[in-house]
Amino acid sequence: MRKLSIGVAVLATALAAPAFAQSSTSTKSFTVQGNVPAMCAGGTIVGGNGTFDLGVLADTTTGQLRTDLSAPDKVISGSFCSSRSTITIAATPMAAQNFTATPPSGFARSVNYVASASGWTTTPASFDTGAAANTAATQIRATAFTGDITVGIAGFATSGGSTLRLVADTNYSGLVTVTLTAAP
Amino acid sequence: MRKLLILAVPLALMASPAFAQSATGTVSIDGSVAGRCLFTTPSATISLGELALGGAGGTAGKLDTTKVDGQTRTLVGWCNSSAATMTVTTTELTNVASAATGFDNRVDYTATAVANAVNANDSSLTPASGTASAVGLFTGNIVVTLSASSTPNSALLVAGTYTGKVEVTLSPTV
Amino acid sequence: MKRIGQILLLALAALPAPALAQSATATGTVGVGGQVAPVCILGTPNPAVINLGTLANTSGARVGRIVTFSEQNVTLPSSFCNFAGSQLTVQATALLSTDDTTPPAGFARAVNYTASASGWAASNATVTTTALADGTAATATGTGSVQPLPKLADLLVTLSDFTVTGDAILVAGNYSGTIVVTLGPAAIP
Repeated sequence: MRKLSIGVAVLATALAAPAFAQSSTSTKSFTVQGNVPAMCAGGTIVGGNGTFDLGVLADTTTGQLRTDLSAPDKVISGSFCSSRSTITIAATPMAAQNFTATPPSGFARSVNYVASASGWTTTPASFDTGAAANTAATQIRATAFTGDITVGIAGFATSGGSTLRLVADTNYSGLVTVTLTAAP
Repeated sequence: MRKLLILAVPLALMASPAFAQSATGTVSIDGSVAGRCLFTTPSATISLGELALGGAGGTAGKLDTTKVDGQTRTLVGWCNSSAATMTVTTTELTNVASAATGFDNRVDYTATAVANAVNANDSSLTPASGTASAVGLFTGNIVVTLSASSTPNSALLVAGTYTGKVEVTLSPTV
Repeated sequence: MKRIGQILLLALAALPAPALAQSATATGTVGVGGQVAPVCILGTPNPAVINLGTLANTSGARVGRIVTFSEQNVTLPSSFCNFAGSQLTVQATALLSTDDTTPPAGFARAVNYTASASGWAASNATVTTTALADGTAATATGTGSVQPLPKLADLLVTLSDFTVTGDAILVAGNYSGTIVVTLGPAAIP
């Protein structure tokens, strides 16, 4: 009697190992990116009036600079810097705009003052128009900030000496500039 | 009265001569053997394992034809008639889970049976059996091999279990 | 009287026809079986990175605050699950500045948005991030409805409604957020 046998030429299960394990869960991801530049934006002057109006500068009895000059502070509102920043204040003396020639002896045509910007940094930035150097004019703020900047002027002094008399001019003016600069 | 015996087998009644003469009597015997085929090893199983390609490329999840093509099993049987024929009937692999757009849930293939150096084949793509081949008188192996596997849409295969079968029929007469 | 030789009756066995009906045809069967494992594969996100550029307005009434962005689209083409009962999940993290210092009052370091993954089932997987100005609580997850059939589709993830909590001014820096899409068997309730 012939012996029964099952001839198998090729083995039964040929499970090829997959390149990597297949899973019933698949996860994929992607990113969304952007950037915000270091920048500052100046705000607006509260009240809308950008002029310190001092009125009559000279004492009519002496012809010299009045000693009681003052003007209310101006507030710049809505300024911000998105990063650390420096605040710089610069000012030009109040000078006669019509009488531009060199004044005669005993007279002056320019008034110095100290302008300051506070609220941005711990130490206000200040600029003396009569000083040779103004190291306090630039102050650093280490963090981003948004807030009011209060600008004031004081310390009025006749350029050249308090005994000089001011030449007549209906228009003495100077300019105070506050600058915010973003530091990256 | 002499009783005559009627004999089933005719015997030559011989007058008994005085001297001996040789004589031959013939008995004819006849019988028959019916044509028959038999599988002494009538079944086998091919376990294909994971049918789909792996990885994450464009072919991931589609039929891996190398899992099917070339698979072979050997049945054993015999036929005692020179007019015997062999026929193959192939049933596709199917999955009871529903297919959807972009998917197939069946695998077609061709099965070829070789016995007595004669082959017969059938593709599961055709519902009818394959053409009968004249295998004749033989005893020995019937080697069944799978080939030409495919899916209807060359699409992703639905997950699940797939089953099919190959039937080899040996008939002693046409 | 002649004696007729004994005639041996040969009792021939009359071969009867076989009582049992033998099947002349024989069938051998080779059973064939295999399986396909349940698999999901998500397509590679295209593009892999959404770059919004400058996030804050640099001039105008909204200077320093979030720009209004149009919808951003990412596709995951030829994603599929070969089994019934799958579910899509999207996890979104707000864009956060790489500087994790707590921002000053009036500022924020997080940009929120809505992410919606569509194309899979009746209900999309949608989520809106709700990060605070300091970037905490930046991650949120949304899940879509169950897909009852195997499915092959191009998935679309849409990012929209980029906003900042309190509409605050954004601190300077590079911002990045991540969207993670997951496709797999539906969670068992």
